[in-house]
Amino acid sequence: MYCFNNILRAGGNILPAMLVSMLMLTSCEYEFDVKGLEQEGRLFMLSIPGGADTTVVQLMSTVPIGNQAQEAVPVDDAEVEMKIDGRPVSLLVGDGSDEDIPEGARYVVGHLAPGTEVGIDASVDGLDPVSAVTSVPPEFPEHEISVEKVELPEFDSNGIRKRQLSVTVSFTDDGQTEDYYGIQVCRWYAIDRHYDPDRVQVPGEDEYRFMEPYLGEITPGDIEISSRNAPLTLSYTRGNGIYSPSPDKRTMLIWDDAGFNGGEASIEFSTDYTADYDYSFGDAGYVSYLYRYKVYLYRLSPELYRFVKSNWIAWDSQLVYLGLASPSFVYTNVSGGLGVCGGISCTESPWFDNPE
Amino acid sequence: MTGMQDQVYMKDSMWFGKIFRVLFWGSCMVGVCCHAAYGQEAAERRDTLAGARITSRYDRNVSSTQTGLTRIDSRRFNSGYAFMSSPDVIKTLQMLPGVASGTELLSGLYVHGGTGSDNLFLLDGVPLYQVSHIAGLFSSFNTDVVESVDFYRSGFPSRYGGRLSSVVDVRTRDGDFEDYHGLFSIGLIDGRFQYDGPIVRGRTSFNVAVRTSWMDAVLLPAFAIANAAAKPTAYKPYPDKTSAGYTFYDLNFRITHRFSMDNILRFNLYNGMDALRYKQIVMDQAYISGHGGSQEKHYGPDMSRIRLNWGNLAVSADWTAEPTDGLHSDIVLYHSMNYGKTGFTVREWSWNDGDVYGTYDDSNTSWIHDTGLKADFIYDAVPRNRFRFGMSYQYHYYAPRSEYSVQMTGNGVEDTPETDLTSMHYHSHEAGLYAGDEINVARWMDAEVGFRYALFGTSGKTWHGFEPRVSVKFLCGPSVSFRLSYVEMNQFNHSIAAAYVDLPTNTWMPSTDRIRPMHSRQFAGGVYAELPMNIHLSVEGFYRTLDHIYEYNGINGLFPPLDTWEDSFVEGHGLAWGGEVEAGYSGERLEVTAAYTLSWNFRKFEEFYYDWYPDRNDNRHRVNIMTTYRFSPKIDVYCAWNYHSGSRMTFPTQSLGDTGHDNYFPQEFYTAPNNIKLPDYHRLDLGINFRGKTRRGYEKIWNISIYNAYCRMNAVFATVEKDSDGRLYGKAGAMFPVIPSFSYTVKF
Repeated sequence: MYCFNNILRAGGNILPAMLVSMLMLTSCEYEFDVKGLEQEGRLFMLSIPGGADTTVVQLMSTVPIGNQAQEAVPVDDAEVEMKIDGRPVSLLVGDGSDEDIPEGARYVVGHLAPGTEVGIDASVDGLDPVSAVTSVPPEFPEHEISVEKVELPEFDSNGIRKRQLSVTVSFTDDGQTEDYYGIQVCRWYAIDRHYDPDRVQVPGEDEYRFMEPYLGEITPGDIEISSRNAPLTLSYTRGNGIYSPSPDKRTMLIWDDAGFNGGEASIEFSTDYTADYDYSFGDAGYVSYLYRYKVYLYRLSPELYRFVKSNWIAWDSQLVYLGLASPSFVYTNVSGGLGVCGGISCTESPWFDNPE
Repeated sequence: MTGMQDQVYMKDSMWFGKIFRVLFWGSCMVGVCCHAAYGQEAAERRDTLAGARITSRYDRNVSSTQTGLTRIDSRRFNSGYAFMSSPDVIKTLQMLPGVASGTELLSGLYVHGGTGSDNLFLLDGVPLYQVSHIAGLFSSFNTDVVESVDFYRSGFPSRYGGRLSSVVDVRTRDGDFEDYHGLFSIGLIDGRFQYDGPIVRGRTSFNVAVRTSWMDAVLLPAFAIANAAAKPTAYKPYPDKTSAGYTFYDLNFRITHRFSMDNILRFNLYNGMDALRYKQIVMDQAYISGHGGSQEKHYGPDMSRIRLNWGNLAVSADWTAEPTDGLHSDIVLYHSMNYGKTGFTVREWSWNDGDVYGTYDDSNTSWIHDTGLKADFIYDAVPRNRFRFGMSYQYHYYAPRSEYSVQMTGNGVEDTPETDLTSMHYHSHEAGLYAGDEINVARWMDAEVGFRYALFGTSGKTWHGFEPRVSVKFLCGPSVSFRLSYVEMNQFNHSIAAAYVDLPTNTWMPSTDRIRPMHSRQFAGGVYAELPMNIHLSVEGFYRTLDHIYEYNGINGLFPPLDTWEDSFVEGHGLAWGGEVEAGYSGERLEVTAAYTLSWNFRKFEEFYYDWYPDRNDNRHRVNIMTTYRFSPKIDVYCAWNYHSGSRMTFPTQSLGDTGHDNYFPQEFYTAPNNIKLPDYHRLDLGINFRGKTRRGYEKIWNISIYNAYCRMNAVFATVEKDSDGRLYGKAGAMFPVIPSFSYTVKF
């Protein structure tokens, strides 16, 4: 056997070399030109028929990454044609006075019933024409909704027990189709005045009004759902409004029917609860704030769901930016372009009084 | 023809289990009876199975029927290219044509358009799931005990199954039956020791090899020095402290007993383990209002810690014998286990009239256990025929998640403990029956015709398929042959990963009623020639289809959700084709091997994109040149140059810009997958061996090597950036500059 002392002697001479070697393991970054990118822009179309009594078509143009100096092609003069169940319809042009209809967007007024097919073609000089087709999904299936107050074991800083609003929707899924659902809970309040108006003024309308932008924050971990997949969150305003997928403002939970296709299903989640309360002005009187709730249930078309999901994934895909994960695309059903034309149907619940 | 038919839907796999039990015990009975009949005969025979294995290890370039086969023996490992002064099996295979290596320095093996997790690694017949140390810097195969490696890229013989793209069949050597030998080696970051010899001279021998890393010996003091050197500042009176450590080891052990030259029993053990630790302490501060408007400062540590452990254990008993004239048998009983453990701890400090700690601890362990039996037989008593037949059975136990999660708040006390212990388990049975015949059709033509029938059963579902295996060789004289092959393969195990990087903590899951087995077909053909002046040349082409392959389509965290994994992966197809040219010269002093590959590699996943798109490893051109030169018996040098076209990544192609509307979308759109090519990859590795004798006459070797000798900063990852003018450009991150290394080896 070899004598290990010689090894130790040899190692003493090598140790400095080892340390130098380790120090050389540093990283660096450098730039490189990217070749093979598209040189022309594309038309971006956004239309979500069925969610409101107005169907809006927004057009925008993109600029190719490889030619950023190029200016976006104006789309004000774009030619847009819409067919509803195969029949052409006349489109109006928004002037920006309605916050739900952006300036320059095309729109048509009229409720679209479930099953209505909507086809849109658009073209503008300088860009390839685009087209898309979607259908308004059926209404949300037969369901039961409960809105309850839940007492939590914790207490707030004022020593008051914390409470949450628990919303449960039970329904039966259609086993013949792939279905995509959404839910929003909106809170409304009314003002009941009991004060001397010469001494106190409280602005606002007395009647119930939508407390915008407040909805409450839904904790994803508190959602119980029949779907095998976790629900996604999205901010949505009825019409054409899709916001970045963040649990804020007009949060919509959307989910698919994976795992319960054709069976009984439910979704249960909790959000903020605020009890009716009085605000006192001393001997001048008081004002009461009274709350109630309305639940909006949605069915999304497959195109719209995939678009939302792909957006959702794109937002969270740090690994994609590092080239360490599968490519993450923003889904599109707009042939020749980008964006989405995806139908949605909405079912409103009756009013739910503020649970005691 | 899909190759896999959804034939039977089972509510339970009882009948399937019965078939397996019959096959299992039947094979045992056949094997035992054959060996019992053989009895005490100790006649030395030639053409035993062991002998067949040895002869099969000669590099039969022209005479072999197989396409896509490369045989490497231990001499080539120990005399040629040595990555960081340590010979490595996978790094050597990555130099071969038709093989893409993926991320730099990692042990990726993407063969003929494969996915990386579709290579069958066998260590003495036992399948291994994870073959990497240090995330791929070294493979799990210790070349000190490796006798030979058979690497198949196409034309897979019928005895192999269960993976799509390649077979890496590693065989270790027996210990010396007459004398004791060994070696030890010290390198920059690892050390090796091997020893073998007789237990009973001429009858029983042992061979043991241990390899370990001492990166901890460098990292721990390096971090301690750095932490001590960090100076407090006014802003940060208590500097952050960081520590990290990494270590690995593996152990190979074999006992070989010869009942006779034709009747040999081997017991094999392999155990490997890696451990990675990282810890950071950041001093947090709190301002507390005191009396009279003063503010008190309090400091406390926030701590975060990551622990990664992974490893393999493989145990087998291997009995080779020649029960009757012309019949050779090899029966292997084995157990293989692969595990990966992740741990994450965060402890946050706060002040509330005292130190208050909130701690979150999360850990997960994933396992896969395989218990199996293989029985291989060769019958060559019929002239001009060699029949091969056999069976295999594997019981798989998957435990991809055994998770423990607890969140504690309060002053180190579990005031509000939340513990979540979840676990998932799957069981499956996999079996294969194969038969084939190597036929000498004529003097100028040989054929190998066979098939493999594969069965896979998991709870509630049974998959099966027929896999033809055909190879034909035409001889044009003694030095030139043409070969053609067609094979079909199925893979029932899926590697679950959200990242392209082949991490050791990736989990494995079985095919289910919703996840089909993967399937591939491959045509290959080529010309193989031994030319004058010791030159060999081969030109080979391949065409391959992949079906029912899966990619992740969900939130890209590092670990995909396991409880909904079937819904998180989408099914697609792959297509690859190309040509490979390899030429080599082997002289007394000089050896040169050059290989060029021209290939295309595409994928189609309709959930991502409506059309075919390039795979990430669609490296159009690949060149490998390897040279060794022996100046004298004391000095030899080697040089290896690797080049391949840049790998691909996805780059946004359109920008929406500021619309001025409330609607908001990602500003850049990815409109086509893998649409951009990274900068080309190339590097030069150099090495030199100084050989001599120690004072006691033992052979000693000093190796000095330089990885990436001209410091080409090849991109490991890339991101998208925008300059002040709004121009988007690629920003590549490179991590591996020149890396010198050394090793000192003594053989005794």
